[in-house]
Amino acid sequence: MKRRFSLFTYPVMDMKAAEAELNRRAAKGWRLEKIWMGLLAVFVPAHVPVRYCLDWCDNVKDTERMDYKELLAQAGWEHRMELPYWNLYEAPAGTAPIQTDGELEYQRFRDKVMRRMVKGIPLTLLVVGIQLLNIIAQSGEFGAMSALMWASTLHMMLALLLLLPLWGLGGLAWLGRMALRLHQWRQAAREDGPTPVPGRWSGLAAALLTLAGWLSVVLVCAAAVWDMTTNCVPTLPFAGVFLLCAGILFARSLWEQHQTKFVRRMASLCLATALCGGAGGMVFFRQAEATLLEPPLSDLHLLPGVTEVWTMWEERSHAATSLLSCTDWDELEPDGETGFGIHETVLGVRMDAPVRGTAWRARWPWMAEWAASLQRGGMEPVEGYPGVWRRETRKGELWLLRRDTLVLRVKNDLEPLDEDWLADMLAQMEEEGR
Amino acid sequence: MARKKLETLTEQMFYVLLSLRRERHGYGIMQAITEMTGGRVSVGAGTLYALLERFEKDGLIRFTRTEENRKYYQMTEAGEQALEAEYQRIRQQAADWERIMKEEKS
Repeated sequence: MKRRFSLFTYPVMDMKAAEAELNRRAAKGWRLEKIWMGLLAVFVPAHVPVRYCLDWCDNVKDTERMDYKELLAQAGWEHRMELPYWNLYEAPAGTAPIQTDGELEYQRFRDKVMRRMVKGIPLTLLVVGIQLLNIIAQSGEFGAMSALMWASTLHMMLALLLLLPLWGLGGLAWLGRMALRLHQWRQAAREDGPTPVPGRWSGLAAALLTLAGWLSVVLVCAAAVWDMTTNCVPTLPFAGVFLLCAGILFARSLWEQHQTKFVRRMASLCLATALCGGAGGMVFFRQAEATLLEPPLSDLHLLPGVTEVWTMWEERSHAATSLLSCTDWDELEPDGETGFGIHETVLGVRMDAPVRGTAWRARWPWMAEWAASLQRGGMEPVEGYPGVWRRETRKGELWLLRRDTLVLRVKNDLEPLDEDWLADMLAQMEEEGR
Repeated sequence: MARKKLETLTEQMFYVLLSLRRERHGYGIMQAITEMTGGRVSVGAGTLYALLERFEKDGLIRFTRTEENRKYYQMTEAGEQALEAEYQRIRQQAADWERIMKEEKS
């Protein structure tokens, strides 16, 4: 049987665009067969012409809902399925629409949309706020470095670091579109005109962005599964956290009764993450561990003549994921005396380390370039040396070197390092990169 | 501008109340309105449900019985008064229109 497909990830405020797409297909002789996973509408040839109507899901008692559906059924509207925000009805072509009063329709739209805006605004502000704090922190000496060290520890942190700015922008776009729709519906209700229907391409663009939003959440969950499989996090407790989230969300969907498709979808995602992560971590961890990147520059010494290095916990601290790995170390002067209080720490953070090296190895050159770009703020490129940046700090200098998939950050509070040192570092990086 | 609490009735509200001078069920109201107006006015099932809920809450109609899964309603005295008031308002509007048209022609 022939089939046609339409993307059906319309956001809540584009109800009319979703309805228009269904009726566009219906006008061409197609009938909705199903909506696959809430993402894709599947159409089959219609034997009789039909039309579609989307109506809001109301959080009402079951008896009221039955009365409502009974009245709609008597008017010719068959309830086909429940979607995250709407109920989908089908009727023979020519049946009067379910809603015929513009003002009442606007009031319902306003109530539903405002409720979501009340939830959406703080969430968007939180994401944007975190990102702004992140940007401010990155302008400091340790900001970007700390973020990248976290990203070298967990795939999930790397995914969040990459996605947070996009989520912030997406949230702002979503709020803006919702405010626009509210304004348009209010105008239509005042002028007693038809409810506004977004243009086909505008609706499709919003659906694509919504799909991208869902895929990004799936990506974060997939990163969490990979963390458990590679044992970057302890598998069972981490899977337990996701299982707990799934349980809370499923329980919520039971006592909220309606408007639960979204909550149930999130709960299913948490459950899938817990199960896949748990299974992966117990069965495939050896194979998965082999994908972890080798920590970079493990034998590199920054100070001439140094043969020993020191960190708080081990010779060098390493972190590795399948996409980014990191090596972090301090170096003492050859006589072992620094006069800088290297053993002083505050809450486990090393203070006053005179020379500190942090290196990253990325899976791909573009990722290394991204890691370097996060840290280049305020630094000047060094003439004659592409991929090298430097700036003066309060106590000394800061270097950033990049070769292929390797990035090296050097903080130096001793005598300024010279070109011979730079050439030596670059040569070692190039040797390691081969 | 949203109407205040039923000071005036929309066309759909008017015909819903008018049809409930006799006891009817929901779908019967829709059919009656289509018949009364020759198809000019139609009330969607969803709109009708919201209007019946609102009218019942405001005391303009009352629920009378349920039969074969159909809920029946009928207009109350308050509903008759509201309908009468709306009818007088429409009549006055029509009379004003006729007067102005006559003045312009003469």
